[in-house]
Amino acid sequence: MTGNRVAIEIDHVCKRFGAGEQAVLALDHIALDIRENEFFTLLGPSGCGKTTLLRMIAGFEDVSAGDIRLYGASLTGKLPFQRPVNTVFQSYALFPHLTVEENIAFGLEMRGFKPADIKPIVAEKLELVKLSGFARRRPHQLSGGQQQRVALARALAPSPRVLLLDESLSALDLKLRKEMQVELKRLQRETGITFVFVTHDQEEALTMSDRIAVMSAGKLQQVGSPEDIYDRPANRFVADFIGETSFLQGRVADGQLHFGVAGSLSCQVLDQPHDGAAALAVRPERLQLASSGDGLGGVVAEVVYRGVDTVYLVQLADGQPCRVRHTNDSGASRLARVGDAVRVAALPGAFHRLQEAGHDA
Amino acid sequence: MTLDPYRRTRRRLLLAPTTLTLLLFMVLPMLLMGWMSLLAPDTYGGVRWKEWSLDAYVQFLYERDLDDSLTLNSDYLQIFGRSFLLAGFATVVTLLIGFPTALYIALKEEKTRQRLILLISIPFWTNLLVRTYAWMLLLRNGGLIDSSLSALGLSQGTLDVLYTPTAVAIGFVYSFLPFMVLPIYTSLEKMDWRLVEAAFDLGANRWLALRRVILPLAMPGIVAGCLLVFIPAIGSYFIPELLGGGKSLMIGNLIQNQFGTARNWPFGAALSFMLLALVLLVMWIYTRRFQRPPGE
Repeated sequence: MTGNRVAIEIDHVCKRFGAGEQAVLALDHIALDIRENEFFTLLGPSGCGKTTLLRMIAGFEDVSAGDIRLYGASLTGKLPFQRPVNTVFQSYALFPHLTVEENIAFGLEMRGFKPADIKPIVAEKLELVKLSGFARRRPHQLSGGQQQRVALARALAPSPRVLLLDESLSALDLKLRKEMQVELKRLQRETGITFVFVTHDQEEALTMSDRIAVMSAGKLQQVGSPEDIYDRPANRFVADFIGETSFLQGRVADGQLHFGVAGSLSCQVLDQPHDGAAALAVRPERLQLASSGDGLGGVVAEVVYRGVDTVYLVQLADGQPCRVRHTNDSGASRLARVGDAVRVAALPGAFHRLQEAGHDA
Repeated sequence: MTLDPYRRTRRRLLLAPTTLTLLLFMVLPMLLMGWMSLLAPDTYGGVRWKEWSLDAYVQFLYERDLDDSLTLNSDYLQIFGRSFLLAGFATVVTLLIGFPTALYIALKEEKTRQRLILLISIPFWTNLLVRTYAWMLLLRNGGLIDSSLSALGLSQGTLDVLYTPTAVAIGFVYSFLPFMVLPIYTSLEKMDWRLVEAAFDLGANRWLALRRVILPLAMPGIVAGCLLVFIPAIGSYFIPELLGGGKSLMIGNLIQNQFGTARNWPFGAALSFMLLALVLLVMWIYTRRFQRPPGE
């Protein structure tokens, strides 16, 4: 699937807004490689700099320091229309005075294609995004999802080496967004173009990406596959931002976990078995409630029913809160009520030890 | 749309002031004028109310000789032609100056924009007649422009611009420029500049982005501006009167003459209708050619 060639090389890029004392560092020495034919996602909360980075690749923002290279060639000083990349904008930015097919043909005309060559490409892209019957409509006559597809077809038509997608699904409602996620993935597979996708939606990122770069406050937090990011978060921010996580403080001795709580937990910390205090992250679905036997003692503080699953907020005996999730697959009623004394057991490998300042890895 | 009787009555009542005003001050005078253009002139101005005549319209194209035969007379057509050319010229020049100006203002920050728009509208604070007199002082031989040009050695002899069509054209461009800038600015101001970004992204350079995205989207403003310049210019009266002199008579002056010294009210009314027809024709062609129906 993904080749090993590097398509985009982001080489210690910085972005400063303002000057002198008031200067704000929006991007702080970002360094990462985006591989050819990869679905790469820049993920982070709003204001983390992900869109700024995307706009730098497109050429709409200057690079304050560092360099961005496309297949080894520096993009510095190249204007947006001189770069072989295309963008799908958050607002779609379809030309309202042009029809769907004129919109799709725009990029080809700008790059000097002959009308005879443009026609089949436009037809092919319309086919690709399943809008063949809509060629002569205008953007305002289309639904949000259809406009989204036109924007995609328009950006794909000039066969860019890299396609940039700026929060492209966030304007759609949930159901349509899910459909488009599958659709985008299919398009990326079929066209073989490198996709760089910006989103603040972690679920979207996990669903579609080959690799994800998690960003926060202008800094790169972690780059890795969805499994890496979810199962082995590099730090507390990533663990907290991606999915649901409980953070617990414990101790490791002889490869076994210990908590300051009555009851034992036979659970090994696999990744970093050295002894000492340990900051731990654990996903709610890897913990289980048990009425007796092995487990940490606690009291149920809250029960949240969510249809597909139920989440129990358990106050451990030492005061640390943790969340336990059970899927409602057996149709069974709630396992515990608020105020019940329970034991919390863990699946093997549930705990991930975080590298944090003061706790060397 | 079908409305229940109550809502229909209410709507009629609400529209009544507008309808009455239009009937009284637009439709009625027009009918009166149309009627007058079909009557015979009275000797000392006015019309003979009971004497029907098509002479006013015949007079536009033909001259009645002593022996009552008609010969073609192109004098009035020439005046119409000149008016059309001068107004057209003013429209083209104000567009060429006005569009870049409007674009420049629209690309500034909010505060600067407001200040620049204020500057554009400052001339309106002084009466146009006074400002046209000021142009007479500027353009006349020995005036400010003439004397500075000869002081710089740029002109031999006198300027001789005042009382020529050139002076009228200068007066038009000066007077009507704001009417071109403001509507174009309004359409550019509400433009989504992300579309221009999209055009750049798709490989359009600045010129192509201007031609293929900005210009089409500013078209409603451009059409409005052109009409706002062309229509008042073609019917304008005192700018050619003051700056043009006898040799560059325009339709407005001709009409004024008929109600004044020529004492031929029916001909004046007929000329006014001819002007109206010309303007409507231009508007029709122009909007059909350039303006897409809104929302399309």
